[in-house]
Amino acid sequence: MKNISRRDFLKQAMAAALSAALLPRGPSLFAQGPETVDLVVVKGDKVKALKKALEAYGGISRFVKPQDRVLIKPNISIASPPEWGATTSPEVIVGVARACLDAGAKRVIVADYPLRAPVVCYEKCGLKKALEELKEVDVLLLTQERFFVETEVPKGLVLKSTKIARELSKTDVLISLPTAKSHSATGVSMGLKGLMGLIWDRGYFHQDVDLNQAIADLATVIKPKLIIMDASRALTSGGPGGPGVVKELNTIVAGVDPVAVDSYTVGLTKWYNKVFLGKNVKHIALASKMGLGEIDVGKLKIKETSV
Amino acid sequence: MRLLKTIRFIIQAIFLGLFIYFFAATATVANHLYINPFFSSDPLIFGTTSVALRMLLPFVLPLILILLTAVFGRFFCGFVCPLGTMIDGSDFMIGKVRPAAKSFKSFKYYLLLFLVVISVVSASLLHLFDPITITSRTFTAVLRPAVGFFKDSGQVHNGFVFLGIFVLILGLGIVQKRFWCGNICPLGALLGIAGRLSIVRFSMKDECTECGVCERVCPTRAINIEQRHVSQYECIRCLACLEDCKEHEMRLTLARPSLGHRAPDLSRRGFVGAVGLGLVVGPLLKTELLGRTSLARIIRPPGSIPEGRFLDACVRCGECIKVCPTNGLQPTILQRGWHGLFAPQLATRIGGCERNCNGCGQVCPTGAIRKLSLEEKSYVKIGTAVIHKEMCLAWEQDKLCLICDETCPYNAIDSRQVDIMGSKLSRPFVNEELCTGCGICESRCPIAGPSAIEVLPIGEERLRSGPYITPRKKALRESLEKGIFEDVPTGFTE
Repeated sequence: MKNISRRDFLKQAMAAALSAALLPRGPSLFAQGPETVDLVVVKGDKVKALKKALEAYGGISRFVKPQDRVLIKPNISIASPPEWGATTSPEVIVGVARACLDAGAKRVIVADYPLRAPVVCYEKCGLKKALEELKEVDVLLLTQERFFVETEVPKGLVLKSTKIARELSKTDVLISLPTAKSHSATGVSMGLKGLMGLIWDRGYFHQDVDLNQAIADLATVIKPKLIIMDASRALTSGGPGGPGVVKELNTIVAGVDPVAVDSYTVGLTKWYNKVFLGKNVKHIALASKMGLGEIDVGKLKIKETSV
Repeated sequence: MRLLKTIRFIIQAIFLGLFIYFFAATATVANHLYINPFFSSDPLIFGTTSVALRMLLPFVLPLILILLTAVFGRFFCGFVCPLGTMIDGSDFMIGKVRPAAKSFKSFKYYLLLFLVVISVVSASLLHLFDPITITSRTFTAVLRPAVGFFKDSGQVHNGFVFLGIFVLILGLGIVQKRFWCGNICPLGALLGIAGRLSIVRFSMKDECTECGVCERVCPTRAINIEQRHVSQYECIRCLACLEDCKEHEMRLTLARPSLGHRAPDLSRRGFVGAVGLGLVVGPLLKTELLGRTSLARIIRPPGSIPEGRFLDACVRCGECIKVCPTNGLQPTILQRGWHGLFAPQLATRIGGCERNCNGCGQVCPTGAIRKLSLEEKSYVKIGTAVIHKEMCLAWEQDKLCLICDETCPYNAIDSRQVDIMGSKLSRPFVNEELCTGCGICESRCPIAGPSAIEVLPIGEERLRSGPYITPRKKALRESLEKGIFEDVPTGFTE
């Protein structure tokens, strides 16, 4: 740790105190520089952009300590090629996994609930091939009820309890790695909606309770330490499975605030050929109302760069 | 002769192991898929399917087997056949059996004749009695789910039927060793006929004392000790005679094939009876008399040739059922009558047809399911989905379900805002032109009991040949990419 002057120290301490005082804004991020940053947005080639985004935090070792058990939750639920925009790019998944291993993680697991035939999802989304060079990573396809455990949702407004992936209780660091896509029911499916990949009873969310509120409730018990949005491509219509109109956005968005990351990404492109903001998406708005993060992009400190 | 017996045991084990290897290697779409060579070499499958379809299937491997049989006799039965090996195993467990008084060995020829007549006249049922298809059906329906119990290995519905048949076949060992092989198996009968002049055979040395032990122990009653004759129609090279011959008078020899050899023991009555029965039963198979043949709600695998030919070409091997990654392919029992017995259908409530998979066509040994590329297969329409609005959560209960729209791999389900009695919400609509009937929607519909969205065979395409991709279909798909937008989902606020 480098020596800092008394002035700089005081500046940083004040900034910390101020942001703590403004708590309803949600968690924010301490970067290398004197200013705090809520989101890091990098435009360009996805692999390079991912590296740059992680560097902006001083490396993933800010989140992953040696001997940590890491769970990466991408979207690999659809059995279609990455070009269709319905799944997280395999290069991004491998990039994050490799970074975690380099930071000394004891174990890295990639997990998701496949919505189609598991073996076909795993292969078509490109992950099987990409992981051939990184054999230390385990993949957990959550295909059976015994992989889940009934968990209370104390802050849930409609969700009292639900079965959540058992692996989470053995995880030190959860990294959410969604892709940016539209959704026929919820409008968009990004980080917040993506948490449904860690539950068992999806039918309950759709049938018995208000889906949008249930997604917000779920986010009160599953809290990733880091959210990296793969917005290299956005499936702007026909989601969540596609096919539909895919826009090449070539952007990586990273942050610790799940509402902010989703909200910012909504604003990056038109959806169903219309302009929407984060606050126009019901489940994101409900999550923000529950204090899970900042939905107003204008209030966020954003570091934008490119590679 | 212990050495010969050991060699035989090893060779049998190798071939059974090979069968299991090919079976396992083509069990999942994650592997490179191909047709199990046992099917490709089977002359019964080749012969009956070629006759039934009036076209020539690949004949090189079956021809090689026939030529080898012409030289070595029914070595296939004694050394190669996986069912034969398993029967030997179960016969061993059953132990010593007193040879039955009456011989039924003529029956297999009558059966072969009967089945050939049926397949020439109308339908093919030979495959039901083919030992290779019996083995693979049983492995798919019984062995594989049992072995993969702790993984997601597909369950085959009504698998007990196949288990029952298999146990019955093995159970016949109580009556006589290798009962199936000697008395029923039409492949055995066919190979017997092909091998009648085989020159590599077992026979008695001149010093033979005619004690008759060999005749008593021969499971297929191939030996007539009085005439010092071993029938090449029946001898399956099981080496029982060699083993039990006290004087070591039985030996492997090269015999001069002599024409005018005794034909199998067939009576004229039996011959006429088999042919006559075939001429009568054959046409009946395709009528309603023996079970429902029409109006059945059956979805066939994508790429299936037209129904009549499909049922003649399908040898009920169970390979497609084994390989299907969603477990959607299941055997029919009598839904399509006796003619359709055990042929595969897509049980869409159990599993749909995965868009990015073409496994069934890759493993089908006869082309009953055409081998299609991934892209072409995705253009095959096997039916159309129909929404039962009174059951649907979105239509009937105003709930934000739309799981069918979510999971549809072709974006053939649109969610549009419809006002019903003051409630304006997203409801699903099926676009019949885009829908291929894959049934993933039906398998994922979350309501209890029958699905609110059901695939019916409406508009199914079954091409005997020619491309499934047409310019019109391509244009329709491409228009999706260019941006024909559906209604904005209710997940957005205005």
